[in-house]
This record gives sequence, C-alpha cells and structure tokens, in this order.
Amino acid sequence: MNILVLVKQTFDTEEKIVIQNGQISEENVEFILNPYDEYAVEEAVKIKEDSGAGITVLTVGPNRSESVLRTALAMGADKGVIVELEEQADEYAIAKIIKAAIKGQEYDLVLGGNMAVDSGSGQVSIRVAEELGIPQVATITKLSLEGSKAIVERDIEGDVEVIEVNLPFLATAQQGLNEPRYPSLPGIMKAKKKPLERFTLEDLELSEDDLATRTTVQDQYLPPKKQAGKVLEGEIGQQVHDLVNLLRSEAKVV
Amino acid sequence: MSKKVLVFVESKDGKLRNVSFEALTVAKQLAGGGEVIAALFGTGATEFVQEVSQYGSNKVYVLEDEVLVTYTTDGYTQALCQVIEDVQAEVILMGHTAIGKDVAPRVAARFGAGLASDCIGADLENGDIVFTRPIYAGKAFQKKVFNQGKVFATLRPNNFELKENPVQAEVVSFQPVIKDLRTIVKEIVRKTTGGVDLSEAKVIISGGRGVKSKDGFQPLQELAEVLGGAVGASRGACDADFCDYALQIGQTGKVVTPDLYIACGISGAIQHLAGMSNSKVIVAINKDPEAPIFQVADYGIVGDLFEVVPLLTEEFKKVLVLS
Amino acid sequence: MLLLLNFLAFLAVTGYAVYLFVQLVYSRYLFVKLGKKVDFEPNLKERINAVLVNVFGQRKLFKDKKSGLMHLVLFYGFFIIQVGLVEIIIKGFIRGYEFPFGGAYKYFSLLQEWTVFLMLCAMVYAFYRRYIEKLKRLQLKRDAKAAFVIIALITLTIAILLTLGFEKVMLGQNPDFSHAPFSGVITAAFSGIGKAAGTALFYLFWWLHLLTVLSFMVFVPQSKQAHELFAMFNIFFKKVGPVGKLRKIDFEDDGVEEFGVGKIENFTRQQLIDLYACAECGRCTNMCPASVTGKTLSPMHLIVKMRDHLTETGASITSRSPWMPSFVSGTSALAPSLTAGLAAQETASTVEMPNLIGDVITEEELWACTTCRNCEDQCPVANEHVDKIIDLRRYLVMTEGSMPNEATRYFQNIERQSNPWGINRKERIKWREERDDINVPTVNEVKEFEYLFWVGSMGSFDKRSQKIVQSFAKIMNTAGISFAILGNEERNSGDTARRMGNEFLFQQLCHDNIANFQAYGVRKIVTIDPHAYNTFKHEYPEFGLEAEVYHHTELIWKWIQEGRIKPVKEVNEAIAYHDSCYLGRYNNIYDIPRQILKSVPGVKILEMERNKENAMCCGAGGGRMWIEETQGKRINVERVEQALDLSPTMIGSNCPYCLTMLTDGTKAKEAEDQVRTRDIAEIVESSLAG
Repeated sequence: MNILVLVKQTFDTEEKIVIQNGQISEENVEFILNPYDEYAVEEAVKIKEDSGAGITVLTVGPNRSESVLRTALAMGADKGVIVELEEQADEYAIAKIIKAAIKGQEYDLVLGGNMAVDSGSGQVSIRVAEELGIPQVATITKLSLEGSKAIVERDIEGDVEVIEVNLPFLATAQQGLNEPRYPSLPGIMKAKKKPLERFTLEDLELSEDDLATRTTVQDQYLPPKKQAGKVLEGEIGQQVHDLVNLLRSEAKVV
Repeated sequence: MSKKVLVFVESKDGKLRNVSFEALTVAKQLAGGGEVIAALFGTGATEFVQEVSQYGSNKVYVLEDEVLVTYTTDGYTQALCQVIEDVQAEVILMGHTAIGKDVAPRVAARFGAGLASDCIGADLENGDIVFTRPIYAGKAFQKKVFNQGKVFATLRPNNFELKENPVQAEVVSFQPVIKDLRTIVKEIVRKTTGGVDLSEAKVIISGGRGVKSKDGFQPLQELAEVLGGAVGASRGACDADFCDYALQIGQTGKVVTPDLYIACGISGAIQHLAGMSNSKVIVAINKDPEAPIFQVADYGIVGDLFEVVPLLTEEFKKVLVLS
Repeated sequence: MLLLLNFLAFLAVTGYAVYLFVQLVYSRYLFVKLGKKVDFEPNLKERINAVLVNVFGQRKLFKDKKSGLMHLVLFYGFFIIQVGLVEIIIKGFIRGYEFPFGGAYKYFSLLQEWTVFLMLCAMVYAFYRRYIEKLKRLQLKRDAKAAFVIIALITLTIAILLTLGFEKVMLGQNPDFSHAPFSGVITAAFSGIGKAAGTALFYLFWWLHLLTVLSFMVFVPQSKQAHELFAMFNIFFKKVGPVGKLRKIDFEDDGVEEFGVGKIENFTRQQLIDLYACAECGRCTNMCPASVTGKTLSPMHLIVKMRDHLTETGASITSRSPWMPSFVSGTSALAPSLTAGLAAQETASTVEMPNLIGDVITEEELWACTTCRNCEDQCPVANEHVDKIIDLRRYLVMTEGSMPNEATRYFQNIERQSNPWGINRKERIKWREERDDINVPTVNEVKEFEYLFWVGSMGSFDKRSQKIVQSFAKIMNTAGISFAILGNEERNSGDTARRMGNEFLFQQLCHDNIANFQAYGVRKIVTIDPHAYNTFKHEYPEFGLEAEVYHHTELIWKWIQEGRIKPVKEVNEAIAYHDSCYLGRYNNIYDIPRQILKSVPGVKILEMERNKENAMCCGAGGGRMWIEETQGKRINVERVEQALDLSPTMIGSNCPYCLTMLTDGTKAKEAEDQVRTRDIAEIVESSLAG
C-alpha cells in the first residue's frame, strides 16, 4: 500500500502577525507542521503500523519547509519530496505542481489536512483529488480500511457522515482523527537518513497555463484594534439590567 | 461590465440556509446589472423558488433529482458543472458550509479556475471583484482578486447584510446527467441538537468549564431560547464531558461570527478566542475578574454565571415582550 | 556416640543450609551485577556517615516511633544473640559448655536473656501491628512470607529460652533467676521431670532452635528479609550529592539507540540493589500522594514488582534457580511471584519474558508520580523510587515516543514557544507592564545588576503567578536591590521536561540558558520557582553553570534580617503553610519561610499535620500539573482539605505551581471566598509600609 501525505509548513498558531510593506513578516517566526497535516501524517503512520504501507510526504514551498518533512519522517513516514517554490502561488497552481511532482507514481491513499492554519482556504488537497481523478472525502474523523475499500467518518458541521469509498481516494483530516505522536529520538535520528527528493519547478513538466495563477493577493492587513470593553459595576441585578439596556441601545444587537 | 452570477442555494432540514440569502444579496451587487441565477438541488426544491426570488435572482434552476437529495461530492460536482456550463456563469457563489467547502474547490479545479474561500467581504472596485477573507485564524485579512477564468467564492455565514429585492423569477427545470458516484453515504449520525445552527446563529450563548456539569448548561439553554440563539461551548467544557464536541467553538472547533456572543464561565484561552473573537458584540460573564475573556469582551459582568444568567433571561423576557 | 551422631547431623544440616544460603545470595549478587556499571564516586565520609545514621542509628525508622523502637530491638538484638547462638550450638556437643568469660559470664548470660526476651516482645508487637492493629501500610502486601518471619522469630526466641532452661534441668542445676531470669522460670517449672527427660527436651529444643535459625537463613535472601543483607550496602553505595538529582544522559554517544530504561538490566547496579533492599514496610506508599488518593501507583509495589521481575529475568539470563530448596518454590503461599519465574526458568528460550514497561509496570503508574520524593524521604533503606520512574519515563518519551497526549502538547509548546501553554514567546515580558509601581529592567536595559531575576514560565505567563513575581519585584525595589530579568530572552528552565523524561529537551534548554547566563555575566540567580531553583542549583552545574542560586524566600529573609525591608503592616491572617516539595524535601528549606511569616505582624502560622519533610505534595510536580488527573481523588483537593481542617483564613505557599493547585483546591471545596491563597512574597509585600 502506498500512501501520499500532502503537508505544509505554517506559522506556529500562537505567532503574532506583523505586516511589513504589505507582506507578512517572517522574522523570528516559529514554523511548524500545519496541525491538520500532522493528523494526516499520524493517520498514515498508524496505517503503516497496522497493516504496512510506504509513506511519501510531499510539500511545496520555500526551502525552510524541509523541516516539516523531517518531522513527518521522524514520525514514521518513509520518504520526503519537496518542490522548492520561493514565490507566492495560488491553490490552482500548487495543485498543478503537486500533480506534476508525483507523476508516474501510484498511490492507494492520499491524505492531507482539511486546511492550512495560515491561508485557511482548504482547497489544495481537494484540487489534487480532482487533478488525479480520484474521489475525495473531506474533514474525516475516522478511517477504517477494509481490503480495497474504506469506511470513513466525516465531520459535517458537528454531525457525522459515514461514507464508503473504494481505494484509491483522497481524504482530508479534521481534528479528532487521532492524536499525533511525539517523535522519538531514534525516530528523529533515522529521519536524518531517510531519502528526501528535491524538485524545482524547472524539473517538473508544467505548462505555462499550469503556473498561471488564477488569483492574486492584492493586500494584507491587520484587523482594527478592538475598543477596550466595559466591565459593569454595581449590584448584580443592576448590572444585568444595565447590560440588557446597553445591548439594546448602544450595541443594538438585540 | 455586467456579469452572470450563479448562486448555489443550500437547504438544510427543509429550510433554506441564511447564508444562501447572503450569497444572493452579494450576487446581485456583484452582477452589476447582470443576471443572477440561483440553483436549487434536490426533490421538493421548487417550493423554495418564491423565497429565493425575494433576493433578486432572475432565474432559478431547479434540479429535482433523487440523487441530489443526499449530498455527495461527485453528484453535486457534476450537477453544478452542468448548470454552470448551461448558464455560462462567470461568477459562482455559495456558502462556506460543509457542502461549500467540499464542492467548491472541486468544481473550481474542474474549470481550471480560482476560488476565494471563506470570504467575509466582496466588493466591486473599478469593475474588479475584490474578496476579503481572514487569514491566520482571523489575526489578519487579505484582499484577493482574480486574474483570469471563472470566479468562484464561498462566503462565511453571518458576514453580509441581507437586502431583499423581490423579482419575478423564471423557473428553469434542469435535468443533470449524474453517473458513477464513487462515495456512498451509509449513514448520517446527528450530534447537533435541533434548533439554531451554531455557525449561522445570530446569538450564541457559550459555556466553559465554569458551568461545572451537563446540567449547568440548562440556564444557558433557557437564555438561548429567549434570544432565539444557539448554545456553544469551549474546549474545556467539551473535554470535561459537559457537552458534545459538536458544540465546540474555537480554533479547533467551529469558527463563529454571531452578532452577540455571551461567554459564560469561559476563561478565554487563546484557542477559544480564535473561534469567536470576530463576533460583533461579546459579553463575558465570569467569576474571575482576571479571566482573559474580559480583554476581548465589549461588556463584562464579574459574577457567578448561575446567578447572572437566570437574571439575564428574566430581564430579556421582560423587555422583549414589551417591544 | 550419640554426641558424635548429633555432631554429624549438625554438620550435614548446617552445611546444606549454608550451601543454599550462599547459592541464593550469590544468585542475587549476579542479578544485581546484570545492571549497568557506573563510576563509583568514593565520598567515603558521606557514605560512612549515611551508614552510621541510617543503619546503626536507624534514624529513618524512627519516623514511625513505635515501629522504630521495635526494629531497633530486633536490629541490635540480632547482633547480640549471634554470640549466644554460637554458645548454644557448642552446648549441643559439650555438656554444660559456657564461654570462658569468668566472672563476667553472669552478665553475658543476663544480656542474652534480656535480649531474647525483648526480641520476643518486639515480635509479639510486630504480630500485633500487622494482624490486630492492622496498621494500614502493613496491609499493602499480605502474604505468608510476612507471617513466616513472625512465626520463625517467635519460635526462635522461645526455643532459645527453652534450650537454656532445659539445659539446667539436664545438668540438674537450680535456676539462677538473677542471671537467667527468663530461662530460669522454665528450669524451675520443669526441675521435677528428671535429668533424662531434661536431656531429651534440651536436645529437642536445641534442634528446633538450630533448624529455625537455618531455615530462616535460607529464607532471608528469598524474601523481604533480604533487606538484612542488602540494606546496608544499598545505603553505602547510594548516589551521593544532592537528593533527587537526575543522571545525565550523554547524547554525544552516537551508538546509543535506546534512552532511559526499558529493560530491568538497563538500570544501574546501584539502582538494582534498591530492589533487594526493600523490606516491604510500606512507609513509601503510605505517604505517596498518588497512592493515598487512589491512583494505581504505589512506590512499594513498584519496587517489589521490579524486584520480582529482576529475579525472574536474572534467573532466566544466568540460568540459576533463585528459589531453594526447590520444594519451597512449589508452595505458592511462600513465593507468590514464583510461578512466572519458574515458567521462565524452565522454558527460558521459548517463553518471552514480560516487558518491564507494560507488563510489570504500567505506563499509568509511571505517569502518576509527582516526583515529590516523599517515598524516598520515608524509606529506611534509602531506596530511590523517583529516579527509576524517570528512567522509565525517559524510555517511554525518548525511545518509544509514547506518552499522554497532554505531555506531547507540553513538549511541543516548550519547543516552539518555550512555555507550557505555547503562548507567544514575545509576550514573556508583558507581566511587568501590568503594574506601574514596579521597576523591572531587562539585562539589556541596565549596565550592571547583582541578581538575575529568573521569572519562570509560570511567573511570566500565568495570570495568578504574575502577581507573585510582581510582589517580589516590588520587594526588591523596596530593598534597593539591583536586579534584571532576561525578558523575552528567558526560556523555560527545562525542569518539568526533565522530570517528564524528556532529557533531550531539558539539555537543549539547559545549554541555551547557560549560554545566556554567561553572555550576560550572571553571577547570582534568584527565582520564585522552587523547581527552577532546584535544577539551577543542583543540576545545571553539571552542564557548566557557575552561579549562586537563591529562592526568593532565602533573599527575603536575608533582607529582613539586614533591615532592608520591614514588614510593619499587620496581616491578620491565620495561615496554613504548605511546604513545596522542591524547596522542602529537595532542598531542606523549612525554617526560612516560617521565619519570614513570623516576622510579619499579625500572622499566625498554622502547622498542618503533614508538614516539613512529611508535607504532602500539591499534585503538580513531575509534569502532573499539565496532565489531567482522572483517577481517584484529586491530590490538590486532598491537600486543601488537610489545610482546611485547621480553619485557616489563608493558605500560604512558596511555589507558583503549589499556589495554582491549592487555589484550584479551595475552589473545588467552594472555600475560595473564605480562604485565600497567597505566596510568601505577596504576604510580605502586603506588610510593607507605603
């Protein structure tokens, strides 16, 4: 069984966002493996432990992204692929790049996070499913493989949908799928010796149209600072009375 | 510079979703005098035509197909692609809902087009459509424009003002050709309690560890009923097993943007704030005056939620009856 | 002729018993030798002192005065009656033999008689404690071996008196009540039965006495009585240096693929002696915060289970039978853990040995430990439970990558943002902005400073703990102390990571911190966190830190004595004072915090029943602060209940972790409105003028 896991390096979720010249500053920023992708890697490693599998992890991004491949390899993936891409690209182009990078490889299962915590767009994995012509199951919380088919549970706005699908397919991981492991020291050491394949865009068969982004980010900005709130005072009954008045007259939300 | 705009209108539990009306309103604005076409899927869709035409769609495509009663990626992708082809739509809008998140990237990819997902703003600037969307869990925003091809966008519920614009809509009955469904929906297990959907609720009453037990949610439920809102929870309350994870609001749960968010017994961990800090008005009720929730709240009451919440329910009952 | 036969029979029986004994002890010696060899640091003075205090002084035993006295009698009695034992044996071959002590013999006889009698009394008391009083800690492990000890020793003492009593009957002598007061009673009672009957009974009891001694000797290595042999060595060979200091792992060694201890043989030899030294007295478990609140961890069982596992594993590896004679091992009553051992022995090659972690000790047990060292402090034979638990955790975390989910998150947060919550590290300095009446410069904002104030992750990020560091900063301002903080350059101390078994992460943090200290020329460090204090003071030096390290209470007391600060305002509180483990048992600081509180006008100190070295842990140590406590009662609630029993108006502490746990405890008891929780720094600040 061959599994492909699509991963992305993102800011640590606690990082403050600083914008300089319309760009998000990367100075002194801690980078991590996108948490949803971490679920995907963990799920692949669990499948490998249960029934054996070869796991390839792939990322598209700047050179620094290599660290997340090492993390995934330390968790138990077997091989890393990085497509070096320093400039910005949209989800359309990235899906095309991924398709080109795995050309000629057959995967029984493709896993990814349901979204990246930085862009929050949740598109790339699904676009890859379309590019590969395989079905998708998004926001999964449980995956059971039974021979050539799988029973998958997915989160749909709090409810659970149980789906049957044949391999190969693509699934995106939602929180609750598993608890990602902490890589062991021997795992980290072994990861250093695992194969890591590097591509630049020139190495891949990509047409001009493939790289022609469909969307462009025009501007990025921080939300306006919130006004300081009011902590009400007085006897509790009075506070409640005041609050209802404020919500009706000042905030006008009720 | 008028455009043909298609809106995928979604229904849930026999009702049209509010975000679809938001999408229709946005569509009218972006069309610049062009046609706004609504697409309704599933048997019984015809009965919604009247409602849809209240928001200015000139044409309503009705796809009364058995296959479309239950959502499947393949079924909806094929149907939507065929409608888009048929109407020659240039802009395609839908809600950033479970369905929207699933089908929009797939359809956009099939057309080789771009997609702006989870938008909270859509404006025409010099004839170009500019979408605004949050990035980094709402810590920043970006404006996105399209370079070429069709324009796809999903809209975050509760972020667009509704504008009614009743028109006489033309109904087009459309028969899609759907084949080879590769996923089979075996079962849908309902975890959310009926009533108002969290992601679309205008008012959310949310409980944290401070509610102390399953029963502790009762007063919150009562307040929610009075205000026509929904009940949510922090991760702490879910972890402590006071409620189901389906109610979880936060970075790892649902991201909500109601008009009024009342946090009861929630300390305000950053994970929680990421899921609700874009609410219009935030009220915090907490015993601990040091709780970080007060830093994001517009109004705060330092006190025991079991004392404050029932009083609040009574007070709202009084004034809402009067008005 | 009969005497010759008797002598031959004696030789045969004794020879066999001695053979068995030597075999048994040698086996255990070999089992211990399976452990890793570590460099022996001589420190003879410290070692001999430990032996004098805890072996001959029996100091730890007197933590339970009644049992201590009982044991003291048995311990010294054991030596004294060895001499009498030799004499009695000779009496079996030479009629009426007496040691040639001349006129002093009478006193020798008197000493023997009283010793035997007191030992008998001690054993009867032991019986009473175990089976009638049913002392809780003695009920932790109920087996026939414990009963055998009592029966054998009571039999032995009575047999000695009977042998001596009937000897006089055999010899036709009168009882000598003044020098044989106890055996004399027997002589007197049976003087009428005649010499022949007296002779028969003398030999009967002589043999009973001999066989009891020999069977007890063979029994000793195979039971908890092995402590008689191993305890002294254990105390002598134990790790020297600061208590609770953990062993450094050398990560430079490339060949190593296994970290921590996953197999019993991977403990050090010194650690393995511990196992046989255990007397199963239960004092550790009796005080363990995890055990008393219903967790699966019991330090005594941890040691006992590992001991039996070592015996089984050792038997399998060395192909030596650990149980002799073999018929004994058949009786499961005497050897409860034997079945597995035998099975392993017989089919060592086919049957897999149980795994140390998982089968013998569960992960749940290992994660339940708060590293409070109450068990170690109690242990009369100087066993170290905590470093073993951490060695096992090290294996789980670093070699296996297996740990509770909260631990994973904890480590990731420390790695990424250097604090347990994963809050942005650039917010570390923000606490100083919350009060405008304090002046807290960073090392970059001042040219010189005397003390580096290590704020710690709790003090920096936790809302409640920020109040403590703000109070302490205010105190330093008032005292006119020159100090600075590292600000956003401060990282986590790594103590918790180390105690959770992540030695790798600890060493990274340790090296970074030391480099930082050196870069800013730090000579003195003060912190409000006893955990950071302990690791800086006792563990960082091994990695190159050269600085004086202070806990804030030490300096507050110094400054009060120097008159730099004067607590003058009345603080009318009845304070139940809680000793933190890392200031208390790890660093032996009990009086200073109390002196400070006494110097604050109006304060009344309430002492909890479990205080100072017996103080119960708040439940936060060893990483427990970050792991959900789901099993049994919450430790912090138990501790707060102990405090509330004194009806305090305040609970005082010296540690931000303790304070958090105690505050949560008062909330759980819904007592937070009546009983406030404060750090000593806050109490002192509230007493300063102006």
